[in-house]
Amino acid sequence: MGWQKRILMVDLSRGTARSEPLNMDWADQYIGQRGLGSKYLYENMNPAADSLSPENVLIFATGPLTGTSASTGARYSVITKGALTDTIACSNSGGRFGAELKNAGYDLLMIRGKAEQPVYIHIEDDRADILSANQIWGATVWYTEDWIHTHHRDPRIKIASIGRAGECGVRYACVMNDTDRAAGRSGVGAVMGSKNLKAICVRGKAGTRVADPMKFLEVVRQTNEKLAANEERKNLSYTGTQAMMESMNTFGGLPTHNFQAVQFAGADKVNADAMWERGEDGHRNMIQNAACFGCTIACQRVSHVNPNHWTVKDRPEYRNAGGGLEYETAFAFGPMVGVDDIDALTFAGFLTNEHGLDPISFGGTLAAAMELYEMGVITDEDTEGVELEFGSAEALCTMIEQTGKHEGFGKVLGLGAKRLCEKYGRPEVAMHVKGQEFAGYDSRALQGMGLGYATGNRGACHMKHDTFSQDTKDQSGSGKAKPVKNSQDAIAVVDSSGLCIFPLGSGWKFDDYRELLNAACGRDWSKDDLRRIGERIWNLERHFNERAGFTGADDTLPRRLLETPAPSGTAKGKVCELDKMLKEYYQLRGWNEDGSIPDDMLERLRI
Amino acid sequence: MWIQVKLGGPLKRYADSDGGTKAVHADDPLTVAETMARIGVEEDAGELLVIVNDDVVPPSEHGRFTLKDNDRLTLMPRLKGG
Repeated sequence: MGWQKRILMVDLSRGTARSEPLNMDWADQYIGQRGLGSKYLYENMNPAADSLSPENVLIFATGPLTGTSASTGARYSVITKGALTDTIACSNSGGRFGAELKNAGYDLLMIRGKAEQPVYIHIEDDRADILSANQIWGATVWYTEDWIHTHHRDPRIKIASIGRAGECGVRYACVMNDTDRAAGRSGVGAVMGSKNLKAICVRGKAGTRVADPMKFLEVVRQTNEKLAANEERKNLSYTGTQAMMESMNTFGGLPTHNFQAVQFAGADKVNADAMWERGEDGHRNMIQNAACFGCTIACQRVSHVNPNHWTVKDRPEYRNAGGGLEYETAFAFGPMVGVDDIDALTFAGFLTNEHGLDPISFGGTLAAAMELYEMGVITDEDTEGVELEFGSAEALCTMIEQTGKHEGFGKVLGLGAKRLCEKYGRPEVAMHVKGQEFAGYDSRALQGMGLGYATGNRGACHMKHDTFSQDTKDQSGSGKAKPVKNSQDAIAVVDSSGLCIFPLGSGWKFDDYRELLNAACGRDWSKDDLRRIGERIWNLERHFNERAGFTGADDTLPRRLLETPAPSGTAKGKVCELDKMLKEYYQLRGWNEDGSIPDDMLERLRI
Repeated sequence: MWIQVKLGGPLKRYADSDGGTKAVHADDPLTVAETMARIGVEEDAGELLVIVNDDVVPPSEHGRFTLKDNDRLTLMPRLKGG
């Protein structure tokens, strides 16, 4: 229980869809979602295969707690070889799609091959059909969702889809679901597009079951009470993740102008307070908060652009309420590219949702292009007259649309920062790890974050470890390896459960996830059992990358973070002490000095 | 002596102004913990990010770190990713 014990296998090359029993040995060893999906990927494809070839495998994975009454039980992950990174990719999303897939009776959906013509997959409980997507190929995410709802005469059908960006192989295209939720990172949408797969829509009536319903309900009640009473949870509900803008700017860890600065003069204009502030004309950006399926935190923002703003003045279709700014989007479209216009940022966020683009990677790529423009490497001739200057809201919005539609200079921006800077012969300008652009935290100020970025199995990622507490108490590299390693393993378990990471630190501890999992799955996992599972997942992902050709040499950061001291803030004069932390980290992991995993460790972890 | 306090996020409710600032006056030197208590944020703030001028003051130092005249004390909610 907890699991549906079924996997839907779709072969797009053959045009077949059939369900199979879930491998329950693997479920016990990897739980679900991220862990179990990664195991299925590892066993079903050659990691050296081209990420955009039919040999790549695309997996949508729920966890045992997805679709249950546990708070935040909305999560699903898209697992594949990432188009942006060529590493294993695991992108996690909320909304309602994951719970519906689980309710249809499946733990995982595994997609192989490539369809000859554009298709979408329609799932209704036991029935799965591969249908023509000719009428929606080329359409935006929003149009696609509307078309499927209308075509199937079912407004409640849940949809995961890609925009034109995913179809055209934009390296950081997302899989979008429920209008503005995203499996956003590493280019999982480009992989979906490479398979000629436009969308997956699902309706489920099977429901979810848990092993011990009475115990489960009691744990749900207790954990809900912890969230309800917690101050940090209350802050998260009120300000969303955007609270970070003010904190990071004050701290001096806010990546600005492609990491050339760590504080942004315009931060006050694009932070959480600015979203709540009512202007002289009575307009307020923020409308309300919103929640994913089953969530009692509700960190999501619902916003609208001022109808008099130049972005929407002649485009009334963008004046409606939509997914508002979260910290990562606000950082990537704000400080990173120097724009302090909150309406432009909100409009830009709408565009990325509509076209299915990862805002973090887009912002990182545009910032690199802006720096190259500043250096004279990229010219007006390249951009067809668009002035790519830091601070230009016009350039931001124009380039998102060009990238989303795969037009003009947007085709070049669609490569991602690493490939773009290599194209112009200036690879040092790209701020990335393993091809993936950074989130909104500068590792000269947050040392543990730097180690987490460098060792991330999907490249620069802020969501697979958590060392904020240690990083803000001590800004040296000392003592950071252990909390990075431990949090990586713990979060691998959280990401495999079907729940969100946000309750952790907002009233819950790791043990709360354990109790929910045990009650749902009928297991008696101890903390140590789960930590071992987390370690297994982390090493499996790493080993996938080793087989794809990655080595310890890829566990690094751009020179700017290692050699150029932070120019201001609490970390003024500091660089990231990666070498020291990395050596200790490898030792703690039990890896060889070069970062490779010893064979006996793979055996011990039963990988 | 005067201490200039900047409060972030929900802590702004303790501030004197919309900008989230508060001036604290004391006849004798105050530690960070004493200043926080004077403002009223001690009990319900959880784990805070505390910065004096441009230096982070870790929790273990809050009771020992003494503020000087015109120091800038910044209190922010704990950092959290997302």
